[in-house]
Amino acid sequence: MNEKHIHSDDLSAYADGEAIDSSYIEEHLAHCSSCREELNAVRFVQSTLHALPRPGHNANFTENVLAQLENNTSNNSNIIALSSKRNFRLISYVAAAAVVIVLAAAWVIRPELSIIPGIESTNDVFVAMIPDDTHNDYLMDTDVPFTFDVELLSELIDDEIPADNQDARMLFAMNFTGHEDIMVEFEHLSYDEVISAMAASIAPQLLESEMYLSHAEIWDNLMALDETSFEYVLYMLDDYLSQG
Amino acid sequence: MTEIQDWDLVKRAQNGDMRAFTQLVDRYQSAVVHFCERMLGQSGPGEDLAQECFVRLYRHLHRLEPQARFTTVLFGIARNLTLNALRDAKRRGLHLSVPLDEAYTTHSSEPSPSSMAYSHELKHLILQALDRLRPEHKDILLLREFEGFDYEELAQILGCKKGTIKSRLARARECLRKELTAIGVVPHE
Repeated sequence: MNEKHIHSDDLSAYADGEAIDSSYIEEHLAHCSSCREELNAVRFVQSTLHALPRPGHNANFTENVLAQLENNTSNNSNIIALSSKRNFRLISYVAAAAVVIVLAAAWVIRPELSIIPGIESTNDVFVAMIPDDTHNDYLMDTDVPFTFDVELLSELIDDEIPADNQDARMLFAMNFTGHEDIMVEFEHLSYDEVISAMAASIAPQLLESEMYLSHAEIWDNLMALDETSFEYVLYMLDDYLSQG
Repeated sequence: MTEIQDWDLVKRAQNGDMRAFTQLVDRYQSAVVHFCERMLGQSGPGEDLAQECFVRLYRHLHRLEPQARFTTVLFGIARNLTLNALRDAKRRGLHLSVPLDEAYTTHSSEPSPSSMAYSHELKHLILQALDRLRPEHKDILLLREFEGFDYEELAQILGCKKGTIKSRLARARECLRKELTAIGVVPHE
């Protein structure tokens, strides 16, 4: 019999009750000891984890949460101060999140921005950003809102990176959201599919945001920065590069 | 039925009913603490992060609208926070994984996990194996095995496609099996 073994992904899904064709898998398992062993291994991992105990109920936990909420309420003035688009901190945070794409665009529009040591092309920015995800930390560590315009990003990549350089396009997409696993998980997908996946991947972070800015607004904010603020953004980029 | 109650509590909390919010915290504190502790391993205090998770939830209550299970929202926040904490710990060199040769040892002749009362040592070994996984494998395993999220819900929480969930979960299980085998915890034949 030349029947192929069941793929490990399908066996794992079968163990979860999520297999698309359970009857086919069951037929195969009936006469394939190798796949049965594989399935047992999956179930062993499941049962091992299920047996770990959960922590008990902590009576102080809720009180501590409520106490933190009270403290936060008393510090609300900071949040209000952030509501101004021209506010330094807001712009800095948003800019930190968007700094890669903005600087990539800046190379086209504002060549004089190429004052950062070691950076001579947009490709340097991409490469320098690969190992780092600091911008994503800013997205999640702060309450500052951020969103991006997929179409604009798409256009920017089209402008910046040749269509046949899929690797560079992928890196750009990956760095934009800070999701390193995009490279791994979506390497077999088309560029359009990657962009869609990015939109989905950033959704949980959007949930935490308080105000949405379009990419155009981020760009406008950056261009309107005073010299000190803009230097701060550049400092952040420099920090990324030194870490990379 | 719990789901209706969850969203009902959210709605009441949105209208300023702190008792409703307190009920939500009470209901899910154990699960969230567990998730955070397992995610962080030895990298930090999971309970503190779990508290922060509920603080974030409260702060964004006004944005929430009934969708899927309430816990997909709650664990989405918890996952983001723990990933951030892990990155911070890594950057500061705080990750304290214990080398294999310092770990407890056990033997394949011992009873399988499903057939024995869990000893403290075995729990320690399993946690150690779990702590060795990459965060993207750890989170999906915890959310699936402990919280019982289906693939659709996992895709929502982790922000990827269902097909990705299927393959990532299979890889995560394979990695954990290897770690367990490496430290001598293997299935009883």
